[in-house]
Amino acid sequence: MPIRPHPDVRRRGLAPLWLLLACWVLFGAAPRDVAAQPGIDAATAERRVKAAFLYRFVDYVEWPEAAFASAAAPVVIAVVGDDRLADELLRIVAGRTAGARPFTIRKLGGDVPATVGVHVLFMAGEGGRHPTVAAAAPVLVVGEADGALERGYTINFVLVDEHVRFDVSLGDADRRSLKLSSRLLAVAHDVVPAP
Amino acid sequence: MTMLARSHSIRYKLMMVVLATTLTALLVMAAAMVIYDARTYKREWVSDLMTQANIIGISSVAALSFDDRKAAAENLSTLKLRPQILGAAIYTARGALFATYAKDGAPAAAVPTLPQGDGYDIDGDEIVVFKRIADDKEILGTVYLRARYALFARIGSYASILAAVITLCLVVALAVSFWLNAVVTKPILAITALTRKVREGRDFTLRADRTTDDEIGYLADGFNDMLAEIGQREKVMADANRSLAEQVEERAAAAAALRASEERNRLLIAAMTSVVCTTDARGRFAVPQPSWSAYTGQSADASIGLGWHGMVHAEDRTALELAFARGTVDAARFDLELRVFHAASGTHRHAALRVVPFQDPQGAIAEWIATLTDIHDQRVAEIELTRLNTELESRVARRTSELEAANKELESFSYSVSHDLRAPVRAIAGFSRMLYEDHSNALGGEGLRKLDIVQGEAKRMGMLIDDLLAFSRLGRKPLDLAELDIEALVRSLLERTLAHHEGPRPDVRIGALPKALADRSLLEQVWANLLSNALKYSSKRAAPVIEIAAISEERDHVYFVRDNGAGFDPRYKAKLFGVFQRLHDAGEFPGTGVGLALVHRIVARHGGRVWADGEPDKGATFYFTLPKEPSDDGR
Repeated sequence: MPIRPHPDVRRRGLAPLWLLLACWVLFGAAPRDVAAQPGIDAATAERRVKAAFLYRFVDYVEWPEAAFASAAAPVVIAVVGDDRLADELLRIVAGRTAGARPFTIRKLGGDVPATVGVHVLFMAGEGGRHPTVAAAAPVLVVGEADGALERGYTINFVLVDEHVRFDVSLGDADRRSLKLSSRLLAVAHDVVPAP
Repeated sequence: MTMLARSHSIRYKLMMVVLATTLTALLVMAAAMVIYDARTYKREWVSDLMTQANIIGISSVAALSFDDRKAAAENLSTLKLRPQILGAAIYTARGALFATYAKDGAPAAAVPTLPQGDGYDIDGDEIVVFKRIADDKEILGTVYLRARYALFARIGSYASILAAVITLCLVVALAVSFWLNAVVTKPILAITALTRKVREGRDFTLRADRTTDDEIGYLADGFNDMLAEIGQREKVMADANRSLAEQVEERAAAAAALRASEERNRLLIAAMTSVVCTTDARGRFAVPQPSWSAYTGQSADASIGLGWHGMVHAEDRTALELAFARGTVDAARFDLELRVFHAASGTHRHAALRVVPFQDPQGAIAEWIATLTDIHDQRVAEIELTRLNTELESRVARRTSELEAANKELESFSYSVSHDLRAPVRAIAGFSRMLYEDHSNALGGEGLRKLDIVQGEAKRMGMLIDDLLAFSRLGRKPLDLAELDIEALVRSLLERTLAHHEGPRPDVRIGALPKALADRSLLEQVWANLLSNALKYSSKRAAPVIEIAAISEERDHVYFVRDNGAGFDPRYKAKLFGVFQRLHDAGEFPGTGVGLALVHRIVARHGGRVWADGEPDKGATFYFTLPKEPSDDGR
């Protein structure tokens, strides 16, 4: 079925569109149906989806101005306890920015490293009680353990029908002065309202 | 339509004009509106669907980003509010189907397995739209929409509305045209009715009422003027007719006179023995020619066109055609003699044809008038005459040559005779002289007298023989022509002759004598003979007179010598110039009788004539001529 380009599209021409598509294929984007991809085990697929989600969350979260040193200061994503996920995340953000800000990925060990200047903190596994988690600092804390939201996490990954979903705690976001986009909430698995 | 235009009244035509104009305008407008609406509908519907797809796409960015199919499906389900949209789908960035939507009750059309680039496609009454979803960084997926495309239904409803409007407009236009009829056609119809009345009643005093102040009012005025004018003309015409009737009577009288004249001409032609015919400009019989048919026995049908040539003798036809061709070029009359078949005698007879062109006022030949006159008898007589003449000439030539031969014989005979006679005559003369000298004493008086006679006769015989010799020599000697001063010649001859002349001295009067071309010695003999004759025959007069003069005629000089001597009896005029012919006794006037014969012969050889007039005792005049130009034969 031949498709006539919309007048707007025709005016811009098709070349930039195809160029964009080609870039996307080359660098790869967040795989959404990774679980279905053959030759990749379920854990790796899950890790890739979670890395992509972490990258995407930046678009739907608004930090207070004080969280950044300057307008061009990077968005820092710290990964605790999962270097492979951090590597995956490095691969995703390569060449990408959030508005004018570049991305910085930090790998942190299981013991408590400094988390000052971090904007997104991912705690792999059980995670434990991290100082940053307890503090009211403007950091989007993401975890993947049952009951993490009760422990001061803002977003927690859950598996629903073998698909990666996430729950959101609005109370935690308020405490940390983070504004979450309603669109993010619309696609969340569960939203825990503020008390 | 043409029939309608011709047979219906102006009222009907006006109504048709109003309706046709209205209908045309409405139809053009309706077509323009439909076309415009169809274009607008398409453009706006495509734009609307694109916007809708864009909205769906933007609201589905999060769902795509976080792989939330349920949220995407929910987004799509908001399309329930747009019943025209029959189906929808969202594809991931990699082209996998992510979420679908189908309108309740709508036929489940298969959603394409792969998305396409931005754009739309219309297939019958459905339209399909693809729209890519992209945030400011990258392409996230594609939205697909399938919707109704109700263009034809829309046009249909549009058309029905327009039809209703057009019908209404036509009804209104009809009403308007009825009103127009009242305003426009009523005065026209009034004039029309008046026209009919005028035509039927021939009453030119009727007038149209002027009810309006427009073109029709003007028409009414014009019509009234015209009626007045026609009335006037009618009167003038009646007068003209009357005078015309009188003229016609005069013409009829003139025509009758002309007919009588033509009848006379016809009778004249019929009475003529000649054949008279008329041909067209190219020499063809256009109508039957009774006189031709009567002469030749050729039927009128056969003679029509160039058929009449068939009656002309085959050898004369070329000449006839040539003459006609030349006559046509010159446009001039011509005559021709030819042989034409004559029915009564059954032979071709000689006839003279005279053909005269009859020219129209522009000078072109309209027809030819030909007369044919039978000249057969005359021509036959001429031919016979010519034949006889020829025969006669040949007979004359034959006789002449016979005569010439006889003359030659005679000449040679007389020459030889004369020549042979000389010797004995000389012997007689010589011996008689010797007799006289030696024996005159013995002879005695009587003897001497007879001897004297013998001597005289012998001398005369000698002269006779000399003359005869001279005469016969004339036939042999060629002429030695030279221009002679006749007057000088005559004077010297006269002087010599008068020297030996005995008797009274004559009164000689010499007039002007023109010079002539002649043989000197022969012409001297002519003049010597004539002069001596004149002296001789006038010598017995007391006062002899001799006149010598000449008259110049057209071709000849006529010289003459006149004396008042013995003259001669005109009865013997014919014998004057014969050899040995003498009208007077030798005793009275001595002579041999050869002189005038010699003159005749010499003058004849010069191509001249010689003759004489005279009466006894009243003198004689001798004439001879010499041609001014030398004669051809040079005899």
